Amino acid sequence: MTGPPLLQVQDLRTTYVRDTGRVHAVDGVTFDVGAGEIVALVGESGCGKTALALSLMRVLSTNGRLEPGSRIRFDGLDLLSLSERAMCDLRGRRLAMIFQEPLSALNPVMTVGAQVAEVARLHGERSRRVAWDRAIAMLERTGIAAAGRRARQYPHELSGGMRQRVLIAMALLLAPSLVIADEPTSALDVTVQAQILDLLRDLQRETGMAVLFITHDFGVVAELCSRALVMREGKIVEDAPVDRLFRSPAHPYTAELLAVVPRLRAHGPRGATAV
Amino acid sequence: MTAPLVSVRNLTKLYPARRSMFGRAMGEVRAVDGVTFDVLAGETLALVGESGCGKTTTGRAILRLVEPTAGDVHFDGVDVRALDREALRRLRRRMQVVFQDPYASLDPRMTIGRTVQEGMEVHGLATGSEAGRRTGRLLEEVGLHAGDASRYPHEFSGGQRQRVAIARALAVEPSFIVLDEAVSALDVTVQAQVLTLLMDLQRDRGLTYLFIAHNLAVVERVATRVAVMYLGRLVEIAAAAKLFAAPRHPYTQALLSAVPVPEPGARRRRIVLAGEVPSRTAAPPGCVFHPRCPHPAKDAECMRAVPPLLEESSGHLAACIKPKLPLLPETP
Repeated sequence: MTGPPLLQVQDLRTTYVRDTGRVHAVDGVTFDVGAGEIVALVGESGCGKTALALSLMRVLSTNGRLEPGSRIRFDGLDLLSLSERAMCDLRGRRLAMIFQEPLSALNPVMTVGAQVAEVARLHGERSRRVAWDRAIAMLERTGIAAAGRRARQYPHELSGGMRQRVLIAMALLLAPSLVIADEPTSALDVTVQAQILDLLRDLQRETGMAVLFITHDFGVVAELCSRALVMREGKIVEDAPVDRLFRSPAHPYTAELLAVVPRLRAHGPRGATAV
Repeated sequence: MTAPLVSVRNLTKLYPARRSMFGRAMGEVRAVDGVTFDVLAGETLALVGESGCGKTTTGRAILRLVEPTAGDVHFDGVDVRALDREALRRLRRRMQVVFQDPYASLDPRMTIGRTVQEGMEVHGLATGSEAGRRTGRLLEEVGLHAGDASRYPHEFSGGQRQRVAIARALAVEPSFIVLDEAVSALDVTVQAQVLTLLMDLQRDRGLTYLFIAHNLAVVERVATRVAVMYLGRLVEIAAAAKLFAAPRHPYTQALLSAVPVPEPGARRRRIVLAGEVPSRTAAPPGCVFHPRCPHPAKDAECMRAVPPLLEESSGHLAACIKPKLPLLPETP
């Protein structure tokens, strides 16, 4: 790869005010994501992976803040010196996020088609008609059958898998160069998860976008990602290509996690090699 | 070992689907539809399937936490559905349950000692200082400290709270425990510890488990036998090793093939199911799986009648009328 990476994070620190004082959710994190790369961010609950994602998007809640000295460079821009307005323009257009729970990320009183179309409208599309057509096309692209009819439905009328496809459509509508996906398949059943992972992989190949995929599932890491960052107590303890991470984890914590990952041993029909 | 402790026959639970303006039920949801199986004394029978398949309702109907619409449940020879309130209360001492979410199932205003002790007292197993001593021993047995008895649920982590829920279930010395997604909300390291605890307790106390779960890798670790449900029906049941090595039903094959393998470069061969699980108010006629079934011999016959559970080989039953076939293509 030539040129600087798409995303460069340096010594990022995020703290939250709690009744017990300041808590370091992200505690001095440094890593890169190259253009077109799918990088996993793995860790257990409370390790700071979601706080890291929200920091990158600059959408921390009011009791959270980025500490001085933190640096985020994205596509040549210093994200932390951008105005809120410039940041707003960047979000969605070049940097997008997919959340875990689509039901809370979607507006319950707006049809899903209107919500996807709104993304185009917010970023300068003047024509309602064009915005709507683009929304339908994108919903189709994410594998929603009868997208024209589905677009007129409300989130509660769709299944969990379909709602997740709607969120993916919203995130990818403007062809961002980096998508942060926060446990996008963790709430889904395995057969639906398999469909969504296939979809993300296809869309990544097609658009060349980079993905920072937050998960706690090493199965998903192995199937989707080329590199993984292992996070624990606000710090990245290991950053390695996925092959090497599984073969010879360098950090004892990674080794411990891999040792307890529940895995199917006797998977007869899939013919995978047993270790 | 092979005597059934729990036997379930044609268990069915219907819910009114939706109500008209005047509160009249319009149609029904067949949450559990004619499910039959045994849970053998001392085994762990896993009940697996995706959301809405009816596995949780089955567990609750066995305990009569929800009233079955039809079918029979026998526990150690006792007809559970025939029991009156008082007899059911007494039987509940022997049948316990641990739920997924220990936040929701523990009373936040009660010390965990009280929570554990309450069942013992209600069932007259121990009172006063004897109950206190037993509670301390139980807390130690599940990996907590006797001194934790005076603490409240919010002072514990998720994994510790699940240990409290297990201690509460054990307090009445049950022989059968329904574990309803009991480890699903826990991180993998904690999950592994709680699973080990459950298996140790089973060995030491001769417990019988109905282990309801959606994580197949976890199920493979603990199950003696596995029953697979889809859309309210039981589609396959077999010894765990057999089911994972040679699943018979097309749905089981698809389900197993969808589990992500934590092994980079593993040959990914997956049966991709088209579409989504149909609505339970409009379950397809015949085999409920036929609209999505990848079996090449699928035809009109599959829609005609509900396929019976047939014995394929000793102890391996599946509800599919088509020839047994591994549905994944051979790897080149």
